[in-house]
Amino acid sequence: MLRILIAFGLLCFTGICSVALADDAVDARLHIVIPAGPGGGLDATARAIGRALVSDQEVARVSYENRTGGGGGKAMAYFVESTDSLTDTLLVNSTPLLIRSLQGLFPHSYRDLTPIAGLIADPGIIAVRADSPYQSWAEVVAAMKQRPAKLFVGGGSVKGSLDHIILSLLVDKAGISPRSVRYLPYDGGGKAMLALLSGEVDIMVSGLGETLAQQKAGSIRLLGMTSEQANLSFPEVPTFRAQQVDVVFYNWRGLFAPSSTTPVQRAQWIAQLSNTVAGAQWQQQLTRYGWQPLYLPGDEFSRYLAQQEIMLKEVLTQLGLVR
Amino acid sequence: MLEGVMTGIATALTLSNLSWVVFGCVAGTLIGMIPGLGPISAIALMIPISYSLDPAGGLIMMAGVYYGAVFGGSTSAILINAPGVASTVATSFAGYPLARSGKAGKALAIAAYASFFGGTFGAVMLLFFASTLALLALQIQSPEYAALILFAMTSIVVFAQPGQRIPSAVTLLLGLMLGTVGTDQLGGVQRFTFNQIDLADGIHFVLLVMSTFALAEAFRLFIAQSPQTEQKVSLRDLKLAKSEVRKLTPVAGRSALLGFIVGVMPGAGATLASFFAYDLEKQIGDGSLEAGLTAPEAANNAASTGSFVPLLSLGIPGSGTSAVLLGVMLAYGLQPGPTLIVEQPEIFWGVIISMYVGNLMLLLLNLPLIPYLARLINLPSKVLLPLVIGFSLIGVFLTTFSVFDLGLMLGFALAAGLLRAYGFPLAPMLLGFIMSGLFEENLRRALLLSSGELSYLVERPITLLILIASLLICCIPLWNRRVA
Repeated sequence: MLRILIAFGLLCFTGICSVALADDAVDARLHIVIPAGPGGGLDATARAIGRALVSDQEVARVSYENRTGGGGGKAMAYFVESTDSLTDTLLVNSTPLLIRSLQGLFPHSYRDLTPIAGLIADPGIIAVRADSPYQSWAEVVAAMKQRPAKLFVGGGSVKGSLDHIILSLLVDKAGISPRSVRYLPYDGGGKAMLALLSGEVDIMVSGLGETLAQQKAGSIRLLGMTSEQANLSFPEVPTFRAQQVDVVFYNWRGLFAPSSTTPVQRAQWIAQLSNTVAGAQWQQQLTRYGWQPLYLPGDEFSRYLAQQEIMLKEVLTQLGLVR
Repeated sequence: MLEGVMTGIATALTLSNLSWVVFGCVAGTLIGMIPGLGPISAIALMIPISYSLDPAGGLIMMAGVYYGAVFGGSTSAILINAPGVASTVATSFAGYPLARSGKAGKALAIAAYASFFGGTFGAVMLLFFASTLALLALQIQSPEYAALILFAMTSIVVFAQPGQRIPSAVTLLLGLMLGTVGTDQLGGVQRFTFNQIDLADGIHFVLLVMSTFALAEAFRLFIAQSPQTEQKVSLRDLKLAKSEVRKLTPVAGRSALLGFIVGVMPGAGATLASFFAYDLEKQIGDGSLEAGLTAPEAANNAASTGSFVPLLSLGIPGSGTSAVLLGVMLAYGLQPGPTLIVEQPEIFWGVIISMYVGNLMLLLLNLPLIPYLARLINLPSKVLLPLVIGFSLIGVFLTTFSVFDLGLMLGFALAAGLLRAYGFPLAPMLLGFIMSGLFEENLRRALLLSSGELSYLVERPITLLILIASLLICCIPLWNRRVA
């Protein structure tokens, strides 16, 4: 009997420790807060950069904390409210941070954090099934103009979030009102891909990273991506720029420190990351996941965020989601 | 293919990989027993360890963790009525009464055998039909999902005890309503959140199940102060009589088949499967608690394995757990999908074989543990009840880290206690709650796609068939009454 009680107690204790406990201030330790559950892109990014930092001996130990809730709002609230007590702690985040604070879904914005560095960038893509009649984005646009009510575009997130914004940027340049396009949201990129493959939707908007497997297997065709240059792994996929559609858009993922971070501390983080990003370990992680590097240290990252915020605000206003 | 299987066996049966699967099973069982921590949390906790292993070893360990956590979850559902994950809710329906009636050891043993049967059946099906079944996953679109969930909800009301049908329908609707709290999955609008960030993601499943099942039951036991009978648990309970084996094997067989097919469909596979199997057994089985426990256990394990079909053959995770496993595979530089079997056959077959090995190891490891676990139920109420309450609260807090949720939980427990006192069953409420989001999402998408026209149904014969079946089962009570 006693043994069972003790076992339960121990379990519980280890459970709490490994899930929740933040590190105390010890030299060269890093704690990364992830505003999403395990298994997603943000989680993978945090763990990949953590591993690279450890193997390049920039830090001794890295711990991770998945703080889900409120579409990333809970992690933000935690990071902003306990800014003074957080040491050696970074927050990983991505483009939805800007989108959600613009929509007022949580009260904080990236200005309540100290941007440290942008790490990777995932361009948006438009995909159709391999047997689809559409051969180019121009053909899709023509079809949308012809029968706007019948053509559905599937995406992996709710209306007004990342995938919908990519689609809106693209159709806007083609002279179609983003509000007239029938966007069908799914619970995650995987479900949207399934809908495309099963024929429920004919067109899908997503990120390049989420479509790699199907692209390699040849079951879908990418009609374009929102990057500046064509991807080396897929030279046959044109950028939208090459198709005279002037849209460049990335879903960035980067690291932030609490707002209480001193300039000295910030410079130190940036120096450590700069070393690691140039190293072999990080390059290996990039190829493993098929990620596109977009290293923007310090102020470059801040400027990038400011620019992207302006662009996002414009699209969201057009969609009627921000006033 | 035979060659592939041999590669898989050779990969899975090396000494180091075998010891990792044992380690994974133990760790998974222990983590899974804590209410609120299910397979997803267990696998996430083991991620750092898996990085130190080679891909085959790491994935094989994860298979052990996965099955261990599923079994651990059933243990808490049976012993203290605290199903930590949605797919074990149906397990507690018959498992908990069986344990309270003095057969805790037997209940756990049946669960272990049924899980083993379901998991093994699933692994064999996966071995032979993975690529064929992927086509099935592609047949099921939004309208079929919506119809299937409607069928599940109809059947739980229709197959309730006569006289319990109206109360079941009431609590089912209550569950559907509770499920609408939070961010609207299609439009992104916040509903019934009162600007509380704690409600922005809706009410957490673990919270609802802990408060309505574990807490409400603990309160009831506390008030009732029922005299306790000391249960003697020994290794002998693990042996089932021949007649029982003969009775339960067909139950496990049909439940596992049903479970596997439902599990292949991405989404709430294992949960739907366990409810379907339980309802089916109530309708065509002998109605014993043993059969009622066997059915959902066999079904949810077969379905969990079935959910690997879309992951391995299409590269699309069909459940929360397989999404985390996908993350693990990506970290190894593996890309699950149609190309995996060609590019890395040893991984593809290794994973499938390791599922089988994981199942077997789990059975061997856990059977000797059962007598010790089952004695938990002999704890005097004044020790057990505070433990149950404490662990339920901790389980929820570990999931959401929110004090607000703890208050919400106590409120729900009180409401659930009242509902039960007035004879409202709570299981339909949980089903309604679990299915609410999925049902709304798929129904709304189907309505958008069809522009609300009924003629759309004619183009989708499967949907039409499921809808007609839902209507037909509504007639069963009328038919029964006439026959009687």
